[in-house]
Amino acid sequence: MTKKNIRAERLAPKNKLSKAYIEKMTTVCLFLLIPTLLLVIFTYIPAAEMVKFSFEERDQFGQNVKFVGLENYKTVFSTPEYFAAFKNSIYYLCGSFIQLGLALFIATILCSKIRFANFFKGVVFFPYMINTVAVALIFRRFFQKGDGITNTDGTLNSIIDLLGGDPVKFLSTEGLVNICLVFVSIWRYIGFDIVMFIGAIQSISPDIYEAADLDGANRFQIFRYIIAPGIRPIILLQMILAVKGAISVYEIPFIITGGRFGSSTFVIQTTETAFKFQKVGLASAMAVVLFLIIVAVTIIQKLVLKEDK
Amino acid sequence: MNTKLKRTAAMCAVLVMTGSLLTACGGTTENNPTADTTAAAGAGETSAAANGGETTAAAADSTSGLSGTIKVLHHRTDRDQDGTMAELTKGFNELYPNVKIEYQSFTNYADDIATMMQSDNYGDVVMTPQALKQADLPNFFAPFGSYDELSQKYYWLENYSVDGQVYALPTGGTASGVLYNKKVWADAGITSLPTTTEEFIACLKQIEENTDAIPYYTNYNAGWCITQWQSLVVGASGDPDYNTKLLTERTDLFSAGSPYDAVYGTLFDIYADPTLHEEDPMTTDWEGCKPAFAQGKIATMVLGSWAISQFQEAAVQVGTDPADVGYMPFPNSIDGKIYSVSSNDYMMSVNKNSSNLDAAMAYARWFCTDSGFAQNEGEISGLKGAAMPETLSSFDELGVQLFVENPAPAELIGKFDEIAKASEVDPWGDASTNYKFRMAEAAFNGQGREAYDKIAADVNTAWAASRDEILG
Repeated sequence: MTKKNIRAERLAPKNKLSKAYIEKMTTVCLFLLIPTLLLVIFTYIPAAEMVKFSFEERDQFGQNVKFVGLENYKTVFSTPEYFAAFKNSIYYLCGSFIQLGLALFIATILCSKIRFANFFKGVVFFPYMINTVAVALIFRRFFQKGDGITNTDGTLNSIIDLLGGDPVKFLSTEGLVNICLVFVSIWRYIGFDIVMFIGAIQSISPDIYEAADLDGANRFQIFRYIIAPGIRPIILLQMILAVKGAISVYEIPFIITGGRFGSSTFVIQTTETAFKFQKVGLASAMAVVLFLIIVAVTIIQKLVLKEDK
Repeated sequence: MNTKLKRTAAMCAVLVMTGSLLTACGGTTENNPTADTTAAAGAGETSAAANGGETTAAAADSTSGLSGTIKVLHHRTDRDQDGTMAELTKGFNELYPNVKIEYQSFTNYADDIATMMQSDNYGDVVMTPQALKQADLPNFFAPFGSYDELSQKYYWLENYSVDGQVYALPTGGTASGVLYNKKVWADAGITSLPTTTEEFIACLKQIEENTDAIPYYTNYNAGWCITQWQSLVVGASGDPDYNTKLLTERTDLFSAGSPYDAVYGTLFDIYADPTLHEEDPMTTDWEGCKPAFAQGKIATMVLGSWAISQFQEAAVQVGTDPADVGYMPFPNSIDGKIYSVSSNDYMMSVNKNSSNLDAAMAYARWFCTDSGFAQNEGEISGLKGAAMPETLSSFDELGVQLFVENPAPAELIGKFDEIAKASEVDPWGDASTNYKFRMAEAAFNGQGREAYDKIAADVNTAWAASRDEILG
């Protein structure tokens, strides 16, 4: 250590209120101010209000407010229909694991030396930037079964037709509709997963790859022994997000089918309870229950995955 | 440096894109036609208004001394865009030259207005939200006058009055029935309109055999379309006290031959027969069905009479004869007579916190009385004694008994809605768990009449439980 450095270190605590330090802290605070403010106003305050609402009976206009204690929670837990909607989450859960596997595969390919890698990165990330409403409209058309009078077959049915098959009513056949919606969900969100994986893979030091090459490892071995362990935290994070997403899936089924033909989810039921049946208190309780379920699942997942390490 | 620049550029592009997407999503349109109208009217009175509101010309009419700017919140985005609302302002400004009107319309009106009403700032004049409980009206709106006096003049005030005061006036009303393409029905060889539900379905089958048109278009994807069937129920009962009797006599909604059974049994039979409706009910398109109907590709739809003028407009646009847009009552005859019920469309109320209360009151009264809005829309006027709209002339020819529901007795006011929401049966609702959707999907999936009976029994049970709890 040079003399200069030691002096600087000694001076540092005394200079806590120096001009440069104040300037630095002001900048930091100013940068944090707006996001914190937005977070408090649009997330924490409404969430706190929601918890308060969940102990009340109230309608959409904030009229006839009555404190009912745990009554709403009792109703949620004594109505099995509300939890029946979680069975559709299983479709999305399966879908999200397919999505993770596929994302990992594509990310690994895009990180190897291929031509136009950046172009393909853009292509796969693009759906993530499209507004969900637009995605829903695109896929409603994609899955359409036309009647030849008021509308024509959608893209998928046109292809099936070209191949000589019979057109299918994708969105109005129970069971099939959920698979279609999961497909849309994968298409929409896989880009985000891929970008996360690419980021993680690129953070692995190139020296390790070089060493592996010298040792004569093949591509699968590189993946198995270098990439997979290297990006393990990101995989775990993505799995938690996937489970959370599967439990609280909302926009895609809501816009494409409105929850009909057996495609309803817990969140759709929550919004309908609030805005169609005017039971805002009960709906808030459902939202709190959903939140607690997600927290519980996340904790369990963390514990289980830690053990297997 | 270069990459930094690139990144900044990319970020900007992303921000701009998100920004434009966000704007594209906001479904409100705002326009302020006042400036145009003052210029266009050009009379001495209006130039006085432009000069700051010192009116001398207003002496002729004592009330025209009103001034200020009022904001009207409404659901007719289409009428904002095609200038109808601006045209209305002109008429209003002839009487009240110093009042400026601003319109703001919402595509998702019912939800947006509910959110806005959490504060005091919800415009001056609004379309009365239907989800609001009757007893809560005085918390938000200013009274127009006593029920005894105003009910001599207007229909449908019963559900919008509290303690003898009226809190909303009708902008217009609609009759319940079935929209059909006269040409297609005639081409199919149907000479007289059906009088029973069996005949109705037989007619649809005849259309399927003899024409290329889709006999019945469900419009299932637009969730609200199926709620139109609910408007047939009271008409099918032929009884102005039907809804009250459901509460006083505690009858089940669904029983063999009950109005609910007549209406939804017909729905089930049509939806269960794949030859009678469009191929894929999940990909229907409300805007697209209008020209298709006008061109004779669709024969029949259950819709309120409010839809007639929209389909006539579509016929003019595609160059077919608007006179082919026919309207008939739901064919459930009772002792040889067919009934249809007329009920109110959106009502109009005035924000009690309005800073220009008198001007807002004047506008709402004028809109519901003298604006001619209902007439232009082909709706039934809310004024008693006004002529029936031309769109319903066919009802006279068919000898349809058009009636208005009787008000519920004082102790039962609001109870029907309360039971509807508490039981989640919600006859007017369009939640995905609603019995209408369950019946429709059972029919689409070919589950047969047993499924219908099961759903009907569920509805009866849920309804009876909440009814007995609420009525005691």
